[in-house]
Amino acid sequence: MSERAATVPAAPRTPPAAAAVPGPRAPSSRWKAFGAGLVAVLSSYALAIVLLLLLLVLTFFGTLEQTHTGLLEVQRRYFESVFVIHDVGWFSIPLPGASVVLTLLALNLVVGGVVRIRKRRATVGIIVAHLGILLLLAGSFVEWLGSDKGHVTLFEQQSSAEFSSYHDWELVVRERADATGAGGAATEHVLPSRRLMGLERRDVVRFTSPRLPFDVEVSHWAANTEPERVNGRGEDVVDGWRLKANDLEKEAERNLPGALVSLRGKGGGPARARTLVWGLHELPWVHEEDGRRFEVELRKVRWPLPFRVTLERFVKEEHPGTRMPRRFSSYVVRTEDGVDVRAHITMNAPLRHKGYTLYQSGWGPQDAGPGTRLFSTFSVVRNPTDRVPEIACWVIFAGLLWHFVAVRLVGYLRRQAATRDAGKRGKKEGA
Amino acid sequence: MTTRCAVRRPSARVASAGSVAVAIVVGLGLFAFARTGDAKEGYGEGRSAAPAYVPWSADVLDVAARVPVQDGGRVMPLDTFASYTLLGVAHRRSTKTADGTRIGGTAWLLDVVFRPEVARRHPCFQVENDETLDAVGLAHEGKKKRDLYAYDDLLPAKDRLRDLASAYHKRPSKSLSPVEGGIVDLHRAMVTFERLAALVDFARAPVDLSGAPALASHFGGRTAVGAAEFLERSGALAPLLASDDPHAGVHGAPPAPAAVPPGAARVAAALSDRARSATGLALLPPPAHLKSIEAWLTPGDALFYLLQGVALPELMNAQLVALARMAASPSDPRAFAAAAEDLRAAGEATSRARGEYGGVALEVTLNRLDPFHRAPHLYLLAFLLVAAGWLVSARWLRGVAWAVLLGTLAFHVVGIVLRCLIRERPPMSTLYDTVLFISGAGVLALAVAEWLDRRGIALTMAPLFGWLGLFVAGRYEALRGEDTMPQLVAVLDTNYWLALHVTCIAIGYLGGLVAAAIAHVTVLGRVLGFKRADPGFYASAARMTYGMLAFGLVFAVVGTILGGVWANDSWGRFWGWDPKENGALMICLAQLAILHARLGGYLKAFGVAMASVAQGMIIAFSWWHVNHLGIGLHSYGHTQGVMTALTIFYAVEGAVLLAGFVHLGLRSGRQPAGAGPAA
Repeated sequence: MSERAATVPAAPRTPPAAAAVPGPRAPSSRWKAFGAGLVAVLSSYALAIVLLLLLLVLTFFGTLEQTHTGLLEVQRRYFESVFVIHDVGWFSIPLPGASVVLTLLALNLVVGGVVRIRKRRATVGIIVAHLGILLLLAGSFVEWLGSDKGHVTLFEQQSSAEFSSYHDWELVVRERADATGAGGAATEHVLPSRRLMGLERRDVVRFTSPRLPFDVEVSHWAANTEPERVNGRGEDVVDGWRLKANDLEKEAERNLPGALVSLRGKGGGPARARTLVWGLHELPWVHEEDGRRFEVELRKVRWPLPFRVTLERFVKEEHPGTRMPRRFSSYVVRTEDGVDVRAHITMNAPLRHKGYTLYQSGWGPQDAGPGTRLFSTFSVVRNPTDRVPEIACWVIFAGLLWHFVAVRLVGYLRRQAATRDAGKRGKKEGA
Repeated sequence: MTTRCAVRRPSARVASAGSVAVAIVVGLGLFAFARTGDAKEGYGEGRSAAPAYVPWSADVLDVAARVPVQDGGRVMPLDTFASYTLLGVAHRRSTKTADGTRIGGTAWLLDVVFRPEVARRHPCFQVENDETLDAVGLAHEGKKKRDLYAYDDLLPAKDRLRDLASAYHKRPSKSLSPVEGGIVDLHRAMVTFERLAALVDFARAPVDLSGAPALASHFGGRTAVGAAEFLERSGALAPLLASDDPHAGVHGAPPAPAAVPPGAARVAAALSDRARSATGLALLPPPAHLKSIEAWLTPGDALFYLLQGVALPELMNAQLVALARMAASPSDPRAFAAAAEDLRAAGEATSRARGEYGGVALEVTLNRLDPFHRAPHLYLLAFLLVAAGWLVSARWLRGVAWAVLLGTLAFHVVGIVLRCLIRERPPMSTLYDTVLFISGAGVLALAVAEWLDRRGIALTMAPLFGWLGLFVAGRYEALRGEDTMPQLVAVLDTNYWLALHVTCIAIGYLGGLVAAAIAHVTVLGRVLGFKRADPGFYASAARMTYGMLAFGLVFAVVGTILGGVWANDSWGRFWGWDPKENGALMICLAQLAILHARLGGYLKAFGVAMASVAQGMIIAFSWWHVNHLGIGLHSYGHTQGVMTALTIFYAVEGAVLLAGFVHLGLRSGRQPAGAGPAA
């Protein structure tokens, strides 16, 4: 059984904010005016229009950018950032990031579209639609914060009780209870992905744990690397090899990060041992010290599943006479508390259980001939707001339908009928 | 009295002029409609000294059109296959023979398969630009851009084309230049032609049985036997032909033991060579009791079975014999028609028994009705009638215009319904489907708008909208040159989501597009000073623009979110910033911004119209452009023609907006300071 115990130096605490000192009372009217002005701006149509247009422009630029930059990078730069600079030829256009725009839009919706909007029959639909959009935004925010997304790949008859990330990596120092490395219990010390993924080549991060006899220092991190043979020495050269930093791949899953890992004495001192860790290494690096055995490994972030899943059979059907896939089907067994439950996962029909959802997402080998053992890849998602968008969708639909049909269209038809009647009456009276 | 006469005379003149105008426009419309038949099998006059083309009889064309075949994973009538194969080669639905006779897809295919020596002189290969010909060393003096070439014209460059195309095949299609793409397309078209031209090569020459007495004894000792006659006795001959041919084993059949009588091995080897070229079209359905075998057989497959000693099922053998008879009698119309009927009847019987024929009969009906190529002409006729109504204020004319419009719409809808029934799918599952649906639904929406607000604006726009939509559909079909009812990839195999998400988003598109169409009336009308004295006209246009924007918004928002919900069900993520998702979001944002700006008083009628025109460009971006960026989950590959058309569309719409801004500037310049209303 593994224990995941990550210890990282605590970030220096920021001093508590100074308590508000009662001073001479400011003229309340000024604050009131400021507050009223702020509320007026936050609830204004003008702000809503500006934010909608900004989001439109960001989405447009973010779409075009995908023609030469990977989706993950575009997401990070345009949609999850606070600020973005988009280059169009010689011009650079500064824009707020989508996260800022969406936050302000949510605020504008709450203040202007729900709280301050006139509450009457004619605005009921609009308020409902606004609430639906807020629900959608809130669901997306919770998903962004609290969901795990990864995959598990299984050959037929293979099983797993965990899944791994597509593109987030973590550094693991594993201590085996059995110093021969023959197996047995192990304790894992994890340097989490969030500490690694943003590192620059020049950054050094030290990783310490009272259970380890050394500190782990990570340096020369690069998000996409390949080993190269070098003559001579260098601070990032180990046994004549170093990791060359490459440009990021367009598809983030294809990036292979790497770093130099040095094991140093507690509190500093020279390196006792050094190694290069690389995303494509199949086996961990082993370090033995005082009769204890440690394994160091760079791997995709992993999460446990609350059940075990076994792939019994994978079936790929093609349209007759073509190589076009018609259906992918995985026949799996879900095992939980010793009880086996059979399930069928196919496109548009995932397996949902205990807050986790397994989707059919891939298969292989692509060049498989008859009799080849196939594997199936499942996307695995733990998303507490899995069903929120659908609910929000119907709430918005109901609101908009009420407003545009029951209020606006019916109102228009009534007015038109009244005008026609008035016209007829006028003609009669005239006659 | 005098006054009355003075009033009457001009109106009589107007009526008379109007009647002439009506006669002209109706005549033009009928002429346009009559021309729709041109694309079908025609028998035009020759134009040059080339040998006179002998057309296929109407009976032959009718029978051949109904032969069931399997291609792209689905069963369809030969007519459909022929039509899109010709589109893939010529990028048009009909072509000309060497002597200038215009022929349709089925006649062309029959020529290629049964009279290749004639077909190779048909100028039917479209070459997009001269540089493609330069690249393969072909002369093109006197030819224009997008001119057509015969197979014989291209033959000298065949090897060069093959070498270049195989080199370009190794590269991603997106990285190919238009010339390189043109080379790949031209090579593909030539290979298609060659494969079809070789389909019945196996039956063109008699089977040589000299030195194979055991086989010859079945034919009274004759040593040269026609292929049809030989195949008629295939049941008895199969065991004698069984060999361990290295090409045996198609569809997993075990090779037969090699107990071959003297001379039969040579006959089998010769037949095997013939079989190898007969793989261009799968038109032999396996027997009904072997329904688990979904792939139909080509004549070559069937011959390989025969060479392994497998006696072919009766109906399949009958089809093979019929093909051989057709190959032997292309110049004997009666014999050819009888053989074609046998081929069709046997194919229909087997495919019916397999439960695969239902869609074929419907598709034959659809092809005969041909609504999507005839309706544009009818929409044009409806528009001309409406236009005539501007000249003559006659109730009956308006009634006729309404009748033609609604009749054409019904015709259009029948086409969509037939496609749904054939595919057993909701109306939209491909980009082409969306054009058919949006143009039809747009006409309906405009007709409803006209019924609500009887100003003639929507009635004028409706036939134009329908015509433009079907024109785009036709151009796209010709550009792609593929089956417009293809099988769907695994992720799209869900009628629930196709019906829900795709329909909603398409209605969202159409709402916005109809709003944009009506907005053009406002912008261009104001710019050109049309109906200046009739503010009610513009108020009406503004009402309809607003109504259509609101209608579009409801469905665009719901469709966009439902797309995310579908993605969540299929891939486990609601929103992935995929270009198609982004496009849909951009439409929602644009429509929301316009409606909020209108509500907040920032935009008046003219401003809303201008913004709606811009919003139409965003819809074009989302609907078409993102699919051709070569990225994301909805990428349809690089299609040069689509991007060119989009560029023209953006330029035209940009010009409309520019004209609107100039008008706005001039208007505010004329008004005294402080008196100008918001746009």
